[in-house]
Amino acid sequence: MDDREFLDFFADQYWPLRRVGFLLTGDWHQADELAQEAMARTYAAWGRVRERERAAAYARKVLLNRYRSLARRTRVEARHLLASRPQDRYEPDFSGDGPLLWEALQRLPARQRSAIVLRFYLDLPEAEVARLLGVPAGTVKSWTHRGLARLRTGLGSEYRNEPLQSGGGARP
Amino acid sequence: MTIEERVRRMLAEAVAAEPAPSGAPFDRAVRRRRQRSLRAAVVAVALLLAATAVVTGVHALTTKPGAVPTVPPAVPTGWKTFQNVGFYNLKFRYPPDWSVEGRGGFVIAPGQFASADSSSPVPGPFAVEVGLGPQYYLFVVQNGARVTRGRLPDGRAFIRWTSTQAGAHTVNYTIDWGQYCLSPGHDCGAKSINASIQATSQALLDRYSQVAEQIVRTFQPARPTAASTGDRNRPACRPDQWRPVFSSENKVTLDGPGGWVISGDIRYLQGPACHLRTTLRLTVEQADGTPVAVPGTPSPFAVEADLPENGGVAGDVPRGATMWFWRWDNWCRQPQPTVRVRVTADSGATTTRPLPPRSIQDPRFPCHPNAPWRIVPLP
Repeated sequence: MDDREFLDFFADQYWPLRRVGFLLTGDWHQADELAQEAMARTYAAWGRVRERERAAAYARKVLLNRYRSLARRTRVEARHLLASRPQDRYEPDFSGDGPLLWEALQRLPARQRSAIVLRFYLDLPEAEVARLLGVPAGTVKSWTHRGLARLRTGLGSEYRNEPLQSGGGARP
Repeated sequence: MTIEERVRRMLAEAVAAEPAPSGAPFDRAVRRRRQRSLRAAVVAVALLLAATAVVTGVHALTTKPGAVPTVPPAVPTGWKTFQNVGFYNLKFRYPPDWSVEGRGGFVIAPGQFASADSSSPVPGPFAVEVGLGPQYYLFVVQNGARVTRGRLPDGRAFIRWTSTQAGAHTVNYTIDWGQYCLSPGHDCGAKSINASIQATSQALLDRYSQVAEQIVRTFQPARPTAASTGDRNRPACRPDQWRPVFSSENKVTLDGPGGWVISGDIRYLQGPACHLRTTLRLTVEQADGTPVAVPGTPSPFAVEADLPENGGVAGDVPRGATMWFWRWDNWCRQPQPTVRVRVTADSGATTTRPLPPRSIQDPRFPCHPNAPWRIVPLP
């Protein structure tokens, strides 16, 4: 491997990708798989995407596509009882209502979950999330709103009347 | 604290105590990329064997991988019509016992596989997923996809290719969707519609794919679009307004039967908006200009597009009809390190680039010295 630029890129971007992978799957092993697949494909496309921001966006796009495929496969496997969830799952150390929100996040449909993670963990604007997910910005707004509503429901009755801000707080 | 603030805190805490990965992630990522190259080589060898079988008459022509199947030309009576005029600019017909769900793109599926939860993000065991691509329909070719060309009944061009991975069978279509604006005055460049026919088993693919293929053949824009290749009423571009450029100095290429995809773009330089029609020719030469005979060369490639394309200036990543591609099969048989490829337009504009080095590849990766060596325009 003689391409120092890609090495530098890997050092910068692997770990954020891995964290996004974990937030999407709730599983560090799958997060490693997703991040490595994203990096491998970015490496293969390096000649076209070597500009740093473009490469980072490309890697995120690959990771999201792979996550979508993974979610699809997991659903099919679950339907046919071919696989079961691992019992030794990693549980993060949360404060306050974190555990409830984390559990609610696990139950979100993949696209709502993707929108929530991209908007509120990576703090990406709606337009960029829309580009990464391949949908209109209005759809991202809708997924985010529905996802937040479900997360709020997961907190229990005392939070149900708390107003939603339609993605407020993140960049439009 | 708002729900957004709570979610931000939860997400940050979830990854705060990140465990170390097992093994060396960089090495694993690089190894994974090489394994993919190997898989591509295995697939290519399988295709070669299948093609040989066709030639020798062992199998019928219809079993040839990648062949576009024929479907009945008439839409059956009773099929319903779906239409999205705005973002996707798409209408199509589908059987009454199938369903269409909008999930940021569309999922078309037999009724028994339709999801009960309309917000569910994933299709069932068999589905056609449809999405919009903000680039010219040939964009995927630069990734080295082996595709078959075809046209929908209304004349729109498409490329089609198949894949099987982890037991999932996929038939992919990317259709030239012309130029239209996603919002007034914005995002008006060439578009493509992507349709992915997916099945979790060969049996499901066999059972439903013909109907799915027929659905795809009914795809039409819901409102008028301009040609992806531009406006022929514009004045012809002058030779000083543009030049061909290679898309990158790509050091990562596939050895062996995967071939080297030589890609590039037309760079707009100056002058009024114009329409370009030109033929590029690829040749191979020594550093001193002495021609090197590679089967297929000089290989012509026709380019037609407006300049400046999409109202902007061509960038490093081609996205529009100004793209051009060739594939050098078995390029690892490069004759000498000093050999280079040259692209020359019929205007005389020309550019060269050296062959990519093999150093990025594992030297144990097999090159096939006796395999056919040739250059072909893509797709």
